[in-house]
Amino acid sequence: MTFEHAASGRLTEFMETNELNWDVVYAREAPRIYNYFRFRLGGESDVEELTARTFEHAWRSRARYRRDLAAFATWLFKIAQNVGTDHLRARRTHLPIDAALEVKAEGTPHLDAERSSDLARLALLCEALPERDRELVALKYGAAINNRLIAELTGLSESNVGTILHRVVQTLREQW
Amino acid sequence: MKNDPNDDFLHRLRAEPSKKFLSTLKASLDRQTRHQANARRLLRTAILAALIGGSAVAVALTVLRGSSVVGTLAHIVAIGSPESAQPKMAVERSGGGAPKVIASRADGSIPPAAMPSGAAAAPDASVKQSRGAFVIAGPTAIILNAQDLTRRWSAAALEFNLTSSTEALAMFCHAHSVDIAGASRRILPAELETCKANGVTHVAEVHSGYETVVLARSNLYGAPKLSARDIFLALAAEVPDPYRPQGLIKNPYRTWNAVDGALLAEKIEVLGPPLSSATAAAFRQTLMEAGCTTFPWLAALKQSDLKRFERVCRTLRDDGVYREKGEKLREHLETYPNALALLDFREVAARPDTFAAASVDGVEPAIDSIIAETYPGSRAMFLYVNTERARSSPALLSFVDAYRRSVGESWSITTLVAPPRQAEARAYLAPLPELKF
Repeated sequence: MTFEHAASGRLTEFMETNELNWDVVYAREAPRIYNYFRFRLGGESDVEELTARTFEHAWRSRARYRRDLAAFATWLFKIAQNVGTDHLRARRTHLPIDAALEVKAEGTPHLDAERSSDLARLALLCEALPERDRELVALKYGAAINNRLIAELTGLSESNVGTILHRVVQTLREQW
Repeated sequence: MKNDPNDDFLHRLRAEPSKKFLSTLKASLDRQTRHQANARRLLRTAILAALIGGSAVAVALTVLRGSSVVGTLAHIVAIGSPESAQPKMAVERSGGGAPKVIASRADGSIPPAAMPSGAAAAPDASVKQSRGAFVIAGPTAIILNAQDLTRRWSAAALEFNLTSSTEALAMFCHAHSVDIAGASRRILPAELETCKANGVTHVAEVHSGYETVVLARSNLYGAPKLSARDIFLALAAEVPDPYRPQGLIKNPYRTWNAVDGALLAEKIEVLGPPLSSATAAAFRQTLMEAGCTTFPWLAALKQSDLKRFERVCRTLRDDGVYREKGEKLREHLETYPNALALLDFREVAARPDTFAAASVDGVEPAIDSIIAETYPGSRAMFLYVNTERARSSPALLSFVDAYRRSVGESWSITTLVAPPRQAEARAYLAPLPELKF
């Protein structure tokens, strides 16, 4: 929960300022978008490219962003979602759930390698989940945004988001 | 070590992007910002220069000619004043119902200064004087386009019959009750035979552009990528029952990922014109039908049960997923990233900074793909003209010529989305190329 609370706090502070400081926006949001793609794609490949694409699109259009119409995070993450969706549609592969068993989760000496392996394992387990649930996992644990924002982005109710995520985490735990 | 995928563990899978990546991307974004600022500065300078230059030229001309600016302005106002265009009533018959009266200009011409750039020239004076009555029948897009031309030029007593392509062609061939039939498809050999049997032996076919519709969302969120099947499943009133072969169910889909697992779990929301509009009609007959016919058993209905085919493939759901767009469409699309708008291609092409048009089955709506007829949301339109009648009616000949040239030279002024089909679109109409029986 640490990450989510921290992110929510920063976001609130950020939204309450009168003027958007784009340097601050970049510093705060880039890691979240980056991790959203890591979780969404289940690895490091293409993550930097998609993060860059998202920010380039947002920067091109930022003069037209109107804070009275859409929350900034909604706007930015919607761009990221679209970039991710296009990418996934282009490279879509369906791995059998049995493939998850072949991913080694232990014996890696370095934390990065372990993270990477766990991420790959998580990605394979997520293959068995509905698309909506995968998106929720990426938003919640990758981007570390709160359920309210996830609800805005997905069109689900906030309580529904919580319920689904609880069920998804249980499922993942059983299969891990 | 094997971790449990509890909440904390999932959070711990996060990783910081490398500092090199962050700094490189930031530098790239800063460069982009500088380029944008430079472009805006250049634009402001150009506008300012144009304003100063224009003012200087106006003052200089006024001094040199000794004429007053007020006099010039008065002349322009007179050209565009209501007195210069007394409305005249023409009759519109809609679907065989009671005639509706529409206004058209009494004066066949409009001054060149008031014409939109690229518009076809008005017919000459001798032609205007000898115009007689004639009847045009066809689908909405053709009729609206014809009415648009009539408002600009026509002094003839025109009658418009709003009907389907098939019925328009039947009236053209059977009863000689129309002089021009518009159709969203080419005339069939059997219909041509009927024409011949009924003494309509001189028929010309005129390509009259394309009618093109798109689904678009706010440019802020980029262009969606959809398939025709996605669109049909999202918006049809009835869709194939996944659990019952060749069965239909009331459309249960509320989110895009329910339609296609590769799409996001976003609410389906489409704003569009009234269902009676030309754009909505074209949408049903192009994109909806294209998606519908991806189901072989529904495609087969076109041969075996045309009425059912049209009902299933062309009926939009009425449960609020599709609803009429309001005045603040742009604001709505910017506020709701998932919202799509059904629009005429012209609207999107004219405002690329506002709308991002969806590609369908991998084809983006663009002039090239429309002309190549690869974009599934587009259809060619045709006029069929009784050339025997045209020879004795300069008004009819003149009208068809004007229609064709308006399509060929300025697709942006027409109701149809009508980029020049070929070089022939610019060719003068006479003599009309007749179809061979």
